[in-house]
Amino acid sequence: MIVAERKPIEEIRQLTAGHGKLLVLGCGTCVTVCLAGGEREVAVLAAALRLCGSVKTTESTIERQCDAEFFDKVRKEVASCDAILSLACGVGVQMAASLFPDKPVYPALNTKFMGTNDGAGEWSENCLACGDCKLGIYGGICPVTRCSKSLSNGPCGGSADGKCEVDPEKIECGWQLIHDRLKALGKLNTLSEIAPPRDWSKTHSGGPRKLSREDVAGL
Amino acid sequence: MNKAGSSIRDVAVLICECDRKLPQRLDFARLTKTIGGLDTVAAVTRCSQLCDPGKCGEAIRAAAKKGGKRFVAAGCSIQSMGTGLAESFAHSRVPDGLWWPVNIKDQSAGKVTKPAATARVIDSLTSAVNRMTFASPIGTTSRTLCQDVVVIGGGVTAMQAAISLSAMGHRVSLVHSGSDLGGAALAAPELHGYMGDNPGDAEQQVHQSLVQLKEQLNASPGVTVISGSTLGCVEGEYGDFVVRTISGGGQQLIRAGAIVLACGPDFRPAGNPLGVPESASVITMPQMLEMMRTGKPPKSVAILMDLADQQSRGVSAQVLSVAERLAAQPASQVVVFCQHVRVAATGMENLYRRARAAGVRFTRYDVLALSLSANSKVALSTEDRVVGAGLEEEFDLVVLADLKPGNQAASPAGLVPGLRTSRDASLQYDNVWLLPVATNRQGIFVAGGARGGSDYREALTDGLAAAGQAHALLSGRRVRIPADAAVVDPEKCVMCLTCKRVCPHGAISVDDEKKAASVSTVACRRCGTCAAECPALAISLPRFTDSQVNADVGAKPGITIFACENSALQAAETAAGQGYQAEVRLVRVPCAGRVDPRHILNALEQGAAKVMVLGCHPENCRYLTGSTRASKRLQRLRDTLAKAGFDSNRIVFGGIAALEPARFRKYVHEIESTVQTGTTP
Amino acid sequence: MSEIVYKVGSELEKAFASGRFVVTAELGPPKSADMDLIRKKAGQLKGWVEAVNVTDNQTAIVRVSSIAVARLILDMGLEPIIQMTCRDRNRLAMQADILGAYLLGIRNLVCLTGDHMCFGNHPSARYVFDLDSVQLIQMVRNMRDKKIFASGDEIKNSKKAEAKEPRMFIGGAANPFADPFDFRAVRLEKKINAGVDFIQTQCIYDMDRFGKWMEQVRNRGLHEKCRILAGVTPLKSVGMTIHMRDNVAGIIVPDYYVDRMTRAKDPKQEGVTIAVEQIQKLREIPGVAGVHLMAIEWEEKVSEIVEKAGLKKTA
Repeated sequence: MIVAERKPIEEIRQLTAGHGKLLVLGCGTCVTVCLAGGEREVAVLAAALRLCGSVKTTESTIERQCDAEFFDKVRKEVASCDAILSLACGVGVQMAASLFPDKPVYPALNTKFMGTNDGAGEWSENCLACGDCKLGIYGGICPVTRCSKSLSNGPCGGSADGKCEVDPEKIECGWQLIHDRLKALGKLNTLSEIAPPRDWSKTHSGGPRKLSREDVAGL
Repeated sequence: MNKAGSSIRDVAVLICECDRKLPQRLDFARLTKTIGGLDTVAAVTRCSQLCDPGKCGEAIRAAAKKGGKRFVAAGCSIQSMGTGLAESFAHSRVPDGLWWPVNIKDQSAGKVTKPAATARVIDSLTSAVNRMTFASPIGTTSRTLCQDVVVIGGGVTAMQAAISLSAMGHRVSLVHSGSDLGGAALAAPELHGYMGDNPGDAEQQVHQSLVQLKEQLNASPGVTVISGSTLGCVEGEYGDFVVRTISGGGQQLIRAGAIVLACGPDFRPAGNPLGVPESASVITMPQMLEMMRTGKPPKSVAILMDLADQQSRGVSAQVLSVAERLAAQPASQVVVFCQHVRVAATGMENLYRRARAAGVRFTRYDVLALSLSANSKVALSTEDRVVGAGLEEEFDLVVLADLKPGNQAASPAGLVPGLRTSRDASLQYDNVWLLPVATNRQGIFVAGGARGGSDYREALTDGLAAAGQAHALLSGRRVRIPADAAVVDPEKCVMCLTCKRVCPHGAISVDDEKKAASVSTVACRRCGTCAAECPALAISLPRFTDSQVNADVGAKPGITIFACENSALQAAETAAGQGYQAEVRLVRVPCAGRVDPRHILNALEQGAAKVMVLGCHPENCRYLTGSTRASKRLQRLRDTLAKAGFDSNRIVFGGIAALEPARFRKYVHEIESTVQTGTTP
Repeated sequence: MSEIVYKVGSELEKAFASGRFVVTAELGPPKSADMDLIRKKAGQLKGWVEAVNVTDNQTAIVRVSSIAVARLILDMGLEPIIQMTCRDRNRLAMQADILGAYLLGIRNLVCLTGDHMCFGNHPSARYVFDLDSVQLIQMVRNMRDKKIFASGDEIKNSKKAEAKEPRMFIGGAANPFADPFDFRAVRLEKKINAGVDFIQTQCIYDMDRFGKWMEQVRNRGLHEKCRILAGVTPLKSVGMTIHMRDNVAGIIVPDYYVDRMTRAKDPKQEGVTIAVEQIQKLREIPGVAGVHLMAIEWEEKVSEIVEKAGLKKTA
């Protein structure tokens, strides 16, 4: 799931300064689930902005901001506002901007990562969309994401007590996890083989990616 | 905005004269006229005493004749009016949910002028009327409660619980993992030296008690003992549990109305923080027991306690019992090194004195150093805090008495979904409202060693308590439950699982067919935490919907206090009864956890100078986590608003208990003294 | 008399082949364009050690590039070993730098993963980690022995031209004190399979653990497939000792050393004494081919340590 977090309110106020009427637009999918940009957060943010400044707001939440059709519901609201403050992830903000090129669109959130929901109010990153998933080799633990250095032949020398040198209190060493998992699966010998250099061209390194299903698209 | 929910003129306001006291304080004519003039009010009816069912019923009928379908009952404290009013309205066939009590007596008490008091009451009655325009009738559902009870455990607590439940007419399945009943007491009777006047006597008492319990159990009708079985999993809710047990032969499914977890304490020896490798000379308590049974223990023994963490009363009991026995040997040298000796149980003080009389020495230490001597004796050195002198002594044997919690994941705690436990070994969440034997899940009880105890007599008492509570919960066989549990709107629910995870009572599950969360009518405690957390605003609490709560804030909030009905509201009413006059708008909520940032922001936008959320003291919240959640939500809101240039001191959280009217006065005084008159920024 | 076939023929390779206990040291380049400091440090090490590691943005702090300093000290008569981390360069930059370093006369290269940027003075920098240290070792070996680039292309200027490959004597790092402990020797073996010729360990204070690691290494016969240089860092002060114990990932410092340094009248001297003792102990461990002295910002003490340990390089 895409995990995002609301920007500091001072930044949001700075971004939207000068606009008298904002459409505070939430998204009902990922950012609702990660408690950052759903209907509730829209209400709270809009009220806080009203209380702290001379700005008027319209509040609305659409099903998803990554699909254009869902914006039909709010065309009127968009027309009558000075700017859109989108509580969607970066994808949604860009969609809003592309649909309404004459309206300034501002992001209220920082999109952080794709990851798991580890319990109420806790999330952690575990997929970087490398486009070339090798989770099957590494016992279901991603060396690209869970290792701070994305090593394919880890661990490095900074792994101690199962923790990563970058932040021993918060970050587990991904390679310790891979090692333990493969050991439990009886496949530790996999790690004696040298993993060759990755093809990073499959990631964003090769340019922003596109995907299409020929049996569905364009018909 | 403070708009009404419906515009139909069907709200009736019943105003109590409180036996002619209130007309002296309030301008009833003005009240009647102003309230009667509201768009949605069909009637304003006076009643001499709302707490008198006859007079109340008359007033209701009179108001109903004029078109009143929803009612505001304005009188004295909710505590005083409470059940009487409920009966009167029920008798008059006014649906549950369509009437609401308002305390105008306290609002008009003390040194306030009649016009001022009247203005206040007009204000609060106006919001109450608005509140009622958003109200919906609340029906009831009835449930049949399975009367059978499953008791997990095979020790004295479990046996006692089974015996008592059977005596009260319940069928009981006693599920335990061993082959013999008796639990920890059977395994180590020597550790209960406080049960008699000397070790032999104590052991005999334990044995006799065990024999007696077994006889009673055998004689109890309807008790099925399932040996060699462990708990597999628990599904369902109180009145309708399905317990799966696993034994060598297979599985069994048992239906039950309630479950008693009496599965004993799960402690392990705590290990050796002093760093000396375990050897034949440094052993654990279980090893010491073994040595005492099979051979001759050495005469020179040191028992170490409180090395890692402060140890419990149970460990004191073990240490004293063993020390007494060891010291009985002639020419023995038995020293207990500890931080505390805990003797707060029957027979413990006596046991301590006996141990000392037998020659056991007790040394309080701050720092303890241990080393192995060349002749394989163990040398202990410390400073005796009491005497203030250094101490160095050699012993043949050192016993590490400390215990630490076992692996909770493997205990029943891990197998009962939604069960909240303590940080330590207890299966009972640490909250005063759960004492003595409740867990956070209704219908599931925890007793005896499983909730951390280890005193034999207390174990029996716990068994009795659990039986009594389970019986009370299930009696009535068929219960009618108001349909006022939290409700999830499946259209809005995004299945984020937040409500399921935050519900303190394990009352929320996922309905795969509806593709939405689903709240159990039976298990929900109506605290409103889920409604306040749901990111999609998909959950509502029928008696305290957002519209109703916002309506209660009113048009002129001034100082708004969201008051938890279990603590703050009662403290406020008591303070008022003592003559305290506060210019505050009290908004009743079932728990501080019901209050979410939007309610607070709404109050501020309506013009509140200050907003306070008053709930139970966080560690003793009636609904376990609601108060803590409220306090954290408020902190987050304050941080956000502060960074936006708003005076975040206008939002305050406070913890309070029902019996603390003085604290209520203090809070209000603090807020009042810092309020600046003025309009909203 | 059989002639030894050298892979590269660098002075370091020859030193290992001679069978003597090899001493290498580390030189940390300056954090500015300071030629004098380079000369000074080179002067402190010249004649005392077989070869000198020039670090590469160590602890992610910007310093003069390893290759530049290596060339400078080569001109001063020292045998340089360049370090290359995976943090700052992708495979294109690495291969280009290796070709360049070779033409500048450098013959020894240590391949490292590299400390994370968060430790240094540019924590906002984006990481590269196109390759990891194992893949880098393999790439350098393939350049040398198979005469190919990472892409598989031959190292030729044109199809008909002669292959002119860079020939590096390949080093790597090993950390006996990191976790998972049981995996460390496996990882060393991986590096050896990838082509590492020698390794330098993280600085050693916990002799027991190092001894256990060497046992694992010997059990796999790894000490015969690559040369192991044991890392030694002299302790300069009590503060440094405590800092290394508590704050530096991958280093274990037994409390015994904290005690000694605290009680010493002259901590610096005690630090030197401890280092000499450590070297003497390490010499006795079978499979240890030499010592790598990492006198961080204390290169001046290297000569004293080498002399007191009786290891001064002759001729």
